[in-house]
Amino acid sequence: MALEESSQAYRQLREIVGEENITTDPVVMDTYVWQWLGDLVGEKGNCFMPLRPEAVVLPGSTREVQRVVKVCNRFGLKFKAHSTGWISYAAPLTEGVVILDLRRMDRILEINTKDMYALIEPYVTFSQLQAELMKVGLNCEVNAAGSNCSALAQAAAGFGAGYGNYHMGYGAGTLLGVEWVLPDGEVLKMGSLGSGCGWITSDGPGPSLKGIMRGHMGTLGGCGVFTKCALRVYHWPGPTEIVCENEAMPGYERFVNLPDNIAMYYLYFDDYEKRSEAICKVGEEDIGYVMGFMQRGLAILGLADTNAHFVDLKEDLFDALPSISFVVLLATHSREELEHQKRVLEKILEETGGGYIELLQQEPFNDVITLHLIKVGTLSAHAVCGRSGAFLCAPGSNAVTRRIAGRLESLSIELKKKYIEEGKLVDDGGEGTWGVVWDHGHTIYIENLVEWDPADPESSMAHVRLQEEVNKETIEKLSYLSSMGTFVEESAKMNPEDMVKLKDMTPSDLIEKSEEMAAAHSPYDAKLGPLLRNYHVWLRRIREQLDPNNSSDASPP
Amino acid sequence: MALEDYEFGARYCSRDSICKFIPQYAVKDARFAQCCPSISRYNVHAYSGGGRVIMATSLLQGRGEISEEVKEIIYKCQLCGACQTSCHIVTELVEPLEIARELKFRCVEEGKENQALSSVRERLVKTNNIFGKKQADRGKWAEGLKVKDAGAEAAEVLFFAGCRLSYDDSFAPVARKSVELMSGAGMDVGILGKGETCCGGRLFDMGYREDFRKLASTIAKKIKACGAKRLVTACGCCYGTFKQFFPMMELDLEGVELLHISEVLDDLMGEGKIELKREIPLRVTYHDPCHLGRLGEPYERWEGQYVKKLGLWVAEPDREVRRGLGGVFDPPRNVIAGIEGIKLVEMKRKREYAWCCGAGGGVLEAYPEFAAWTAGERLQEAMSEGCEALVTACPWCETAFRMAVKESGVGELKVMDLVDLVAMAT
Ligand SMILES: Cc1cc2nc3c(=O)[nH]c(=O)nc-3n(C[C@H](O)[C@H](O)[C@H](O)COP(=O)(O)OP(=O)(O)OC[C@H]3O[C@@H](n4cnc5c(N)ncnc54)[C@H](O)[C@@H]3O)c2cc1C
Ligand code: SF4
Ligand code: SF4
Repeated sequence: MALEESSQAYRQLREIVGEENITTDPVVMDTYVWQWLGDLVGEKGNCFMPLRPEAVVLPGSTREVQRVVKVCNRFGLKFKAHSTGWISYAAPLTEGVVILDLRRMDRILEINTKDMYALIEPYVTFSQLQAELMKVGLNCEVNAAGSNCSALAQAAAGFGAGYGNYHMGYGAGTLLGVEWVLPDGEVLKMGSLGSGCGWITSDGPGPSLKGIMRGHMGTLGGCGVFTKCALRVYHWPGPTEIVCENEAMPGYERFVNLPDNIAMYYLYFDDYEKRSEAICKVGEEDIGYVMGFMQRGLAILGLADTNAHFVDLKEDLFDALPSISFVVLLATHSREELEHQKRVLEKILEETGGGYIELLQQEPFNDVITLHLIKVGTLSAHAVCGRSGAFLCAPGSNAVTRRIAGRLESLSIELKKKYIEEGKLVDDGGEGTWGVVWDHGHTIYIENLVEWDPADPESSMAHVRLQEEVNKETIEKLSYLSSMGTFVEESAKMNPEDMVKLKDMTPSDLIEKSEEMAAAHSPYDAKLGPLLRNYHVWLRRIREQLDPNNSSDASPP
Repeated sequence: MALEDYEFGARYCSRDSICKFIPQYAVKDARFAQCCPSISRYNVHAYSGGGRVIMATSLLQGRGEISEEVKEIIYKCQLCGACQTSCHIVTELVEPLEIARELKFRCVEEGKENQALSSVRERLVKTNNIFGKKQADRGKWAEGLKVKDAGAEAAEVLFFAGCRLSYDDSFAPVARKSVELMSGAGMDVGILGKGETCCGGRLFDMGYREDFRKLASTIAKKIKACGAKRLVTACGCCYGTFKQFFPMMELDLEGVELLHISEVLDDLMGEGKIELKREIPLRVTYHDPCHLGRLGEPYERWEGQYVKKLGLWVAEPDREVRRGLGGVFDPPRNVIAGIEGIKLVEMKRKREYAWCCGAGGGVLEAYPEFAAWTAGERLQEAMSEGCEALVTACPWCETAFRMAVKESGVGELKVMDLVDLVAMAT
């Protein structure tokens, strides 16, 4: 139900953001409801999420955000922040939600080269930020989703896996001072900012609530609005501007004059143990700039220009490429240093019996992969979302040890192949592993990407069945359960009616009054919470303190 | 085609917002990273290419109707095609530009036209030109010029002036000089003069498909009847109409080679047939008109089907993915660079991902302030490169830029047509 234009709430919202920046038109609001993964949550075969917002507003400043949030509190409305909005969680997950599209807040406010941070608003994309940083010899971690996403959203609100994690850290790790409009409309200045010491840290002097605010996955729109944040930035030894050719031709994009202090190496190994050993050594030797996994099926999806090209390329390349691999980009301050790092890498390969995948180090593949590792660009979207319209990972979003990574990879390939044979999933040979390396090789973030046809309910369901099976097997064989996998499995079963009911449930209702609802809303918590000191109960209690009127829209399950 | 024909692909829009930006690898700074004038000015997602795709899906699924607000969004789109270039880097299935255009057709079909455009259409259909001027005056620009009447005697090259060059006195010199440069280089040139009519392109982009068909088939017949082997225009919009809309609507210009004046000048200069005598010490940038650039790529009708292979929809027979790469980009640049003294610098948004001038899709006529804002953004971009002049190759672009110069007072930037520039150097 949209807000009536005659209602007090509407009039107050319009007064805050101005006529041009508010809408309640159903067709216009539908553009905030259609979402990647919508087919899993709503009606199958259709990406419209089940619930429309009450209104969409576009505030232009922190002050406006604050006032909008206060109006929501006053009129019993919920609200949800939305940066570039490329995830289903950015849509309303309960009824009665006002969406705050933060597109008008798109400024890079400061690039501090001395204290090495960038101060940004929510709608600054990675590509914009990175381009400005490179001009002054700096770089930032870029979410591997794509450089079209909001840099603030990943650091402050959710996820944050990217090739740069290897030495720049996971999304949360790059976060410094934050300006946070709390669910009741008060502004909290977090970290050093809170005691007037600038933006340089998230952990004081001043209030450090990073664990509560962000945690591992982020609150995904479920707890207030982050209106500014500072991100840690790093040295960039490459050119101040990356000049490219064929920017609009996937599979053929090229560097013009790739400098001689940057080189990409695609490495293969005979088994997962050896790969694990090599990753460990690369980290210990402190070489490499960015690092990741793109298994052959996935690599071919990314390298093909069109779907028809993929069909041909798979035929030509799949068997010619080794299965167990990872890719590392060396970017050094001099050619000599590059030579040194290359020698170290060769030594590691000698010790682990690995080698270079020569085929991928030739043109055009070399340039395409190198550009992707540095800038990410739209290659991820092109490889997985753009081909079939939908993708996710089975197993999903896993931060694991190097050993478990190999076991997860092999287990998921086998299970995925079964579903591919049914003809309902995209056939990447089962080998769609994607991943990044954290903490210099101690932790691996790994997913086996699965692509399906969101317009075909059977295809969506094949993916859900695969998730169920992967979840079951990972618990049985590896004593491990992934949050994303559980979300998919359970949300596919969730009745949209339940989402409506969630509207009036406070966090404590969720814990106490309706176990069934709580379990439906957050099956992961229901399964794991009791085993882990009921962390979910504590989280909800905290949320209740921060959000006395239960105004933030629900976090995803 | 109808909106329904694009529903299949629309289901695969993943709402990634990639269509709001120039190709990600081309982003060189934060200020000039956007590609879509509509979303850049109005911000609500529905204004973007992807937003239009979702609105279409919503309408087709009967989730809502074309309200006043939806109508306004539909018409506030230049149909510049930048969204399509970026979208087609990630997917070949979704057609944001075609959907944006179909939405305009749908408004007309449902009687929900934009009022300002409805008046433009009325006078265009009545007078065969967008300004509502007299047909008899159409060839006045060529008075005193030595040029054949192609309707009466055979000429190898037909110069098609288009409405702007024909009726806007300030552009008459571009038309005259075009003819003079070609004739001077020994080409056999004719014009239709008062027998010429509008190419119809603006009708098409304002949502009047059937009116376009009628007007365009008349002019197609005239062009073919005059027997010229080459059709040359100095208007980016006319060029795009002949190149793209004609084949799209199965209008036949077979046997006639279409050229933009920049291509002709490039060839003539290359062959030494135009003598450049003067140096022009100027730092200039070139603005790619949408209909000459990304929308000027050859259009091939595709009648095939999508079949599932390896779980993916594959076009059969193969279908060219339209990313705008086949447009006319190099010839105008060659011409500018061939003039001594000129320093040609590129703007951040160029070639297939150039920013639009703001004039297209009926926006100039229906929302002049939005057109001026869009043009103003481009002027800012040119100035950020320290340019003294912005050169373009379409009178509609130049009109929008002149308007923006007047409104924003960025007086120090000259706006020029390519032909003017060459004429200055001869
Ligand atoms: C093809 C694809 C690949 C992906 N790969 C990766 C990957 O490799 N690594 C990874 O980490 N993630 C990945 N993701 C998920 C990804 O993190 C998000 O899609 C992306 O970062 C979202 O950015 P966004 O700007 O679209 O955020 P949004 O969708 O706008 O926001 C994300 C969430 O944060 C909330 N939010 C946004 N802004 C604010 C704010 N200012 N204040 C409070 N809450 C806010 C929203 O409500 C939403 O729940 C992938 C997604 C896709 C579609
Ligand atoms: S129209 Fe294309 S680029 Fe835009 S959101 Fe949809 S799929 Fe992405
Ligand atoms: S055609 Fe141009 S103005 Fe219209 S939505 Fe696409 S990019 Fe925007």
